[in-house]
Amino acid sequence: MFLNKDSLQVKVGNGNWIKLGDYIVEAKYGFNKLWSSDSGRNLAGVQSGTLIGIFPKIVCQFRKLNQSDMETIAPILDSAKQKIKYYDPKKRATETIDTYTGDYEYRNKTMINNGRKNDGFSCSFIAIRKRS
Amino acid sequence: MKTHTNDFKNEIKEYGRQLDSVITYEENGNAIKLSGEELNAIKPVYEGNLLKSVMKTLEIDSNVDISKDTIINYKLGVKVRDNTVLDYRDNYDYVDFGNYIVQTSEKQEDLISYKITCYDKMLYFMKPFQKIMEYIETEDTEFDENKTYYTSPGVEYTGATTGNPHTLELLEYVPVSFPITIRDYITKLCNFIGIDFANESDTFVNYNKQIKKELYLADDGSSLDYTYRDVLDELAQVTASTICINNNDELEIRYINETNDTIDEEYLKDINVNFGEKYGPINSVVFSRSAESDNIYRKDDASITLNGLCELKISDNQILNDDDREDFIDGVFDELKGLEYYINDYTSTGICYYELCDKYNISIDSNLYSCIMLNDEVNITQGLEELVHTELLEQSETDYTKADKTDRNIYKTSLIVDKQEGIIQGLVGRTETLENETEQFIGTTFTQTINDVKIEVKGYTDNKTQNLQDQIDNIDASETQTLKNNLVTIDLDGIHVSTDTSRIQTLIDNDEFSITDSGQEKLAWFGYDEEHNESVAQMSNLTITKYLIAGNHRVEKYGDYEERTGWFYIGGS
Repeated sequence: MFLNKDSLQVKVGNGNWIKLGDYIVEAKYGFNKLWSSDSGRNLAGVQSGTLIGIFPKIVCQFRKLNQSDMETIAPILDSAKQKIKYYDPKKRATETIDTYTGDYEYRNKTMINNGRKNDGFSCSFIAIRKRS
Repeated sequence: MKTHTNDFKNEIKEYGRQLDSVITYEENGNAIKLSGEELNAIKPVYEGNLLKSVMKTLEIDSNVDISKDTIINYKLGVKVRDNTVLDYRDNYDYVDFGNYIVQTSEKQEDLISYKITCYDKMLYFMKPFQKIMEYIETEDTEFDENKTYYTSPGVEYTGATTGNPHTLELLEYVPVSFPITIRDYITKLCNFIGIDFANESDTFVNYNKQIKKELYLADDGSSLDYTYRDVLDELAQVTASTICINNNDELEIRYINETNDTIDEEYLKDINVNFGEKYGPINSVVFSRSAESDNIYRKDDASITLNGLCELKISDNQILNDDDREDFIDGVFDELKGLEYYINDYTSTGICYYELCDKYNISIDSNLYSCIMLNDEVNITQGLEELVHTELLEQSETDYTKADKTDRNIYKTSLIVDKQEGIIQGLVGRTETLENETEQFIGTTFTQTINDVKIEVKGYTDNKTQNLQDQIDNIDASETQTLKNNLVTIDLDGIHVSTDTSRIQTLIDNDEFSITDSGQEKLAWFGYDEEHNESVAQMSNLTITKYLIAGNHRVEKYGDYEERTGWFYIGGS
């Protein structure tokens, strides 16, 4: 949940936490279930299976970013692994998770200078581990 | 059953269960915990049966290597919600699969992980059997310079060797003495191996029966190729149990545990669900010596009539090889009598809380199958699958007309194979009570060793039997070329035919055939004359009743009535 401007932060390695609220216009919180291959129906016909876990996925819709913003955000998105701090309503607490990012791409319709900005774009932060 | 919570039992069959695996061990004094992130796959396995010892195996696919001989513990957890506390987080309830010793670790370069194989402490019994030793308080009142004394097990005494070692409570390390009860034997075996015996104060089948002598080593102490595990297998038969290592790492004499627990179809996958024939009820127990000979039995005739024969035969067990084996059979029969269960082979979505020898029920449709957990394989990866099967005990059918309930019947017939002394002894006879109320064996025995075969007739007093004994006594089996009786002797010197009162003696060997009279004068001799370099026939007092041919002439009686002799030319040059 995005409760306030500090509710969603990201960092890479030992770097500083960056408040994503300054850069995004929307955050979509997903909690995706991953099922084991043993899933199926048992002899009683009841669906049976092992839930490997729930893996949080946060899709951020970035606003139009200028050159400086982009130079801040791009190294984070390009890293193999990030840390995300978010508020988890189930746990009623701010959780810190390791994530990787999905592909992202941004469009330039003109030269990005003199304060001009890129078009907005989206990128996903996906948890490496299941939610504890 | 393994210790588990109701939540565990309920949640493990639920759709959407979540699992956790935890391996813990110590390394260089540090407590290490491996969990799902380090562990790729875990497979606890055991293949057991009744009247056997069982060793449990744990196969691990891990991203972390674990050193050989490390003792690890494995627990499987299922996520449950603990409603008793106001905790919005979920908890895992675990079942303990016990402790294991890392035996091998093999790096899988392609997967960059380690395939680690572990066994429970039954592994300690997988060694060649040697004399079981124990520490006892010395009875010596003076130090014996040839002995080593100990202050406590494994700690050698290095103090002064004057005074009384007994009052110093010093110990000696000596072989276990016989006779010894089954329970004490197992206790001392466990002490020797370095493992606790869970039942050292318990009563179990035949716990107080005795082993009379060392059974698993030759008389000279040399190996008979037994392992300690082999000995446990025989003890499992004697105690009508299954011997295993429990979760406290103790050796346990385990009997079938009636759990009264029932699981239903929700625990079973919809493939590979086979419940075959019903085994039992066991209504006959047979003890057999080597070559499945010489049987004694206990049976329940009423049950056999009602259900048919279901026989359990225990063969070639060294402890049950002596004449006191009938002391053991009642305990074994009483324990196993009436045992019945369904043969099964099924794949489960995961039960995990049944232990070896647990008896439980499976309800499928309106059928209730009583099963015993004897073989289990749990495949734990991202998911969980449990493969369970129980096989038939080995079936046999004894010819009861040739077996008996006891070795002490009127006619005693036995064949004992003594592997320690290297002797096979067969015995047929009966026991009679004499006037002085002592018992005497009357019959025949044969004793076969590596060097000798000895046949004896015992107890008979009549001359005919004595004569038979004399003849048997004269059979020297160490020289198998010899055969002798009152008339004929066949030996390396040839064939001699004569008696003490014979007027003539006959000898046939490879050089001669001779008949001599009682004064050793040659009556007839056929052989090779070394002096003349030719074979000759010599006789004294020769009478020809018809004719004699020599060269070209024949000599014979001439005419039927005339007392004349003719000399005839019969041809030749």
